[in-house]
Amino acid sequence: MNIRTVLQRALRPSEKAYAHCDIPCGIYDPATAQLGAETVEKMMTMIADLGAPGDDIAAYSNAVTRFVVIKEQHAEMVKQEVRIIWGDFIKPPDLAVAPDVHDVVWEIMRLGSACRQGTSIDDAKALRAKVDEFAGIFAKVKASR
Amino acid sequence: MRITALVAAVVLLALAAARWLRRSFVAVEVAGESMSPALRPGEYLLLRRGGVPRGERSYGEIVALRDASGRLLLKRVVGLPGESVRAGEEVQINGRVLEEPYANGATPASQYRGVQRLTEGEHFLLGDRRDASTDSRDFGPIDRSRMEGVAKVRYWPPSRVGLLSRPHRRFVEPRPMSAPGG
Repeated sequence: MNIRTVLQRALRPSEKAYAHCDIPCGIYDPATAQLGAETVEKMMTMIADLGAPGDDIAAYSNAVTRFVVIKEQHAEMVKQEVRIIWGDFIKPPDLAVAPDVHDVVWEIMRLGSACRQGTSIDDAKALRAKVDEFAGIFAKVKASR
Repeated sequence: MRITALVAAVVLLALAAARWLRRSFVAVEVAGESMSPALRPGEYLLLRRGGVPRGERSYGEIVALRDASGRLLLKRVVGLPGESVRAGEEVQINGRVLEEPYANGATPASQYRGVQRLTEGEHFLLGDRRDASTDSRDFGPIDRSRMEGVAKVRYWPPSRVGLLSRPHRRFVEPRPMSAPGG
C-alpha cells in the first residue's frame, strides 16, 4: 500500500454527496409522448388555420416559424420518449402480452419523422393514435408484471 | 519550560482550529457525474455549513441539500429570489440568456421548466450536466433554509486541491439583427 492510498483512506469523508441523476431507474410514463403527439396535432391545425399570408408578412412568418419549431421539437420528443420506454422498459418476455409492440414503435418513428417533414394533419392524427396505442401496450405490460 | 509552553500553545491552537473546522465545515465525497467537470466522482470536498449568502453572491455556488430519502445532493445555484427562470435549451433569467461556461449537455425537452418568479428565499438549482441531472427542473425551487452546506474547498485528489471559485454572472449579448439578404 503506497502513501497516496494511505492518505486517501485517512482523509476519506464518512458521507457521500450525490451529484448524479437521482431519479431511481424504473420510472417510465408514456404521458409525455402523448402530450407531445397532441401538441404536434395542435400545431398542424394552427398552421392549416393560418391560410394564405395577408399584408403583414412579418407577423405571418413569425407565426409559421413558431408553429413549425414547436411541431419539430415535440415530434422529436415523442420519438425519444417512446424509444426510451421501448428500449429500457419493454423486455423480451413482455412480447407475450404485447406481440405487436415492435410494429407500433416502428410506426411511431415513421410517423414522427413524417410530422417533422410535412404539415399533414392526417399524419399528426395517425401519430397521436399510435402513441395512444403504445400507451395502452405500456399499461398492459406494466399490469402483467 | 519555554518549550513546554510553546508546545502546549501549539496543541491548544491545533485543537481550537480542529474544533472550529468541525463546527464550520463538513467533509463529503462526491458520487456521480452530474456536476462534472467542476466536480468529479471520488473527489473530497469541504462544505461550509449553512445556506448561501443572500443576494447576487449566491449565484454559481454549489450547494448541498437533502432529498426525500435523506441523501445529500450537490447542485449549482442558478436562479435567485425574485427572478423568473426558464430552463430549456438555454437558461434565461428575467428573459436574458445566461452565459454558462460550466454547463454541458442538452436539457431533454421533457425537463424544460419555467418559474414565473422565485419567492423570497427560493433558489433554482441545476446540475452542470444538463442531460443527466435531477434538480430544480424536477423537484422545483429550493428554499435557502434547506441548504445544508456550500462547497468551498476540494482537498482530494492532490492534483485538484484548491478553493472552489464561484463563476461571475454574465449574460449573452443579443446579436444585432442583420439586414435581409445581407
